Amino acid sequence: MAYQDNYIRVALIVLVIFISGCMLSRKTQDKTALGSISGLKLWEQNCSRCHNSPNPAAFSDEEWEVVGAHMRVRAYLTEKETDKIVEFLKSIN
Amino acid sequence: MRITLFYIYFSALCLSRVLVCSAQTQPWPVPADWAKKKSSSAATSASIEAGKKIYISTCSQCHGEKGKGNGLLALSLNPHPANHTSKVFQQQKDGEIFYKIITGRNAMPPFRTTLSENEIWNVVNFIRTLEVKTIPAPVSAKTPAQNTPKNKSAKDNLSASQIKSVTIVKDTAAKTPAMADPSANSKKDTLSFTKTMSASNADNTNIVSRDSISHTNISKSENNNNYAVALKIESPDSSALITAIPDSIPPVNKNESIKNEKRKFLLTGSAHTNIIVDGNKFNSAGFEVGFLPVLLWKPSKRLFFESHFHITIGSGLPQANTSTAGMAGMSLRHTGMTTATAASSASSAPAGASIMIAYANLVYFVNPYLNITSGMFLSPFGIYAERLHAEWINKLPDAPEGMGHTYQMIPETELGIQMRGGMPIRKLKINYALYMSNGPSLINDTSKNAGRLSYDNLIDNNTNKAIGGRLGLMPLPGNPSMEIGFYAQHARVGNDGTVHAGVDALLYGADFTLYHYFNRIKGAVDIKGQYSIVSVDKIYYKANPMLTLNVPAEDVNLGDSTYRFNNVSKLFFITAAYRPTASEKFLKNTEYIFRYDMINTPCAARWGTTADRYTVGLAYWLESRSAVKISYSIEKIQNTLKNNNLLMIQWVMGL
Repeated sequence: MAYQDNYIRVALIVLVIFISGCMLSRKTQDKTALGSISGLKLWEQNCSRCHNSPNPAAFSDEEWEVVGAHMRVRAYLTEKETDKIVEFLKSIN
Repeated sequence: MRITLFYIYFSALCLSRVLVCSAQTQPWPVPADWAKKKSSSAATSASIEAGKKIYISTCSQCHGEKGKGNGLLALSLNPHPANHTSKVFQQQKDGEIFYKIITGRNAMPPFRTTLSENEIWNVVNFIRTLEVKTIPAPVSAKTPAQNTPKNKSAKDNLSASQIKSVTIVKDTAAKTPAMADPSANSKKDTLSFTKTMSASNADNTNIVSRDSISHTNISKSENNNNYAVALKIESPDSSALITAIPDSIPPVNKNESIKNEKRKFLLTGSAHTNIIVDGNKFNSAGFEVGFLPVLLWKPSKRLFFESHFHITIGSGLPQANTSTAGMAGMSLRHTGMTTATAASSASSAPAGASIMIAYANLVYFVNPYLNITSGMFLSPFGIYAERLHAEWINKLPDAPEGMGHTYQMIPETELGIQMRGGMPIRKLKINYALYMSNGPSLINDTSKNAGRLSYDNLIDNNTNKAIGGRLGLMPLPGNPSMEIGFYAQHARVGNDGTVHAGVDALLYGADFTLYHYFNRIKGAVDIKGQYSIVSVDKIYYKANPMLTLNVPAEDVNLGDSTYRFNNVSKLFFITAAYRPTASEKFLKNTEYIFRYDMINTPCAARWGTTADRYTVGLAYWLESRSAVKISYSIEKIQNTLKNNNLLMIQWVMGL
């Protein structure tokens, strides 16, 4: 099984380096197209990828913030995406 | 006609997805000669009525029947459809509105090809009447204003000329609604009221009958994106309005600094009941009920905790157990029993009722693209366990083969630590997760489960930790609706201190997600798939080889009565769902689902099985997280004479 161990470890190292590289270049990323997408569109696209988008009125402002944190972890959202979606939901709930 | 228009709107909708969404704030200039254009259709009641019909059939899908910009499609559109009841909109000249209707912009099609000039003027005339749609009841009583000829004309055609003055003032404390400027009007019969609204939700409830507007003064104050718009109305007799207006004013305060100090906790989750019927003879049925609360805390900006319980009662049909139906039968998970016992029990004798911790983990948001999770968390091994297992998310009543809680062949939760996040790279996005956990343990006793992996590894059976991860790629630029994921886990699974110490397992696979509106078939399509492989080192097991016919002679060790086999299992599912975007409520809420799934575990193992299953299902969504689902599945199991068919009905309610 040793070859599998090595294979996995090398792959993990590559992955970590890749991620670190992305972290370092994150300052430039706000200018990308994703950075300009509105909360409404992010809400529609990211939520419905897995489940029906819930009614914005289903939760209060505080509750949406908690749901935002929950889904930021689950749906691999960035902080900016989460904030935009939560702000949008808070504006129409 | 309506269908054609729907088609047009959905073409526009799809087009709008491609466009960069910065147009929301862009002005829409109208050439001066168009702005001056005069209406060729007088604002008679016949014209307004004709305009209304066109508006309802053509415009209301996006702009809403009352013109507030809140039509059915508005939620999917960016820029958001205009609010025709807003003051900014109504201040435009007739010619400007006419020009915008004929040219269109973004998601709005140009109507010069579908509507005649006269029809468009009728629509303009109707739009001019929108503000009087929600007159408070007392106003409908006879008021002297209605008898004034000057105000008669205002009813049918309010334009910028009716608004005598507009002043915009900066205000640092826009918390109270009383914003009227007393210096603007000294008349005693002046009525002042204020409406405060969030800038992002400029959806005005209409309060004023235009009949009674003879003088309007708008003042605007700006504070933390809140705008206070004060209208001063002077009317010969404003007493009717005074009683009507205060009730119509919505509550104001949206003060962020106060909100952030509040304790942030949410108790949510779902409940469901299942009816499971033998699909061959329809002669037996089982019932199940589950209550699955989710507890979420967010003590501060960077800290978060989540936990989830499964409380279930009922066991379904015995054969439902192998197809992982519902929540039944997993009571022995996470209860501290030895893994071998738990696994063998879970696959043979479901318990009647149980309480189980599905996950409990602490999260720290390190930076915008990284968070650390510690505790028991849903495994990022594929998409089913992590994203789709919840009853209100899963479109079918049961889990794919080898998943769910009863006959689990791949990891669903991990006890360990994880780093994960999402990261935009140019226009694309990647998701990553990397974790270290107890991982699975090998069942190596003499039971029929020898060689299987148990995922109830709460007390690690060796000192080695499993390492795993997932990398998801979203290949569509600026659109996360498609994702391709690759995941793997490597774990030492053998018990320390036994002959199987040092036995390893490699688990890996790929998943696929696509969710998209297709206007060609007028609906949303949702496709999810996952293919996983579990590979355990080829070792000898003590289980009696005589009980298994499929073992080749070279793999049997007669000396100590052990045998070995290629311990590789494969699991696959693909689910395709279609939900039409019809305007009819029943059709719109119905989703049609098809699933193919298969499991292929070692035929030489006593727990080995090879099964293919075809499932068709229907989900009727009562609301976004509540549904009644019905499915029929045909499961073909190798070396058995008859199919294992099931009819399942599930009612799930999002809490």
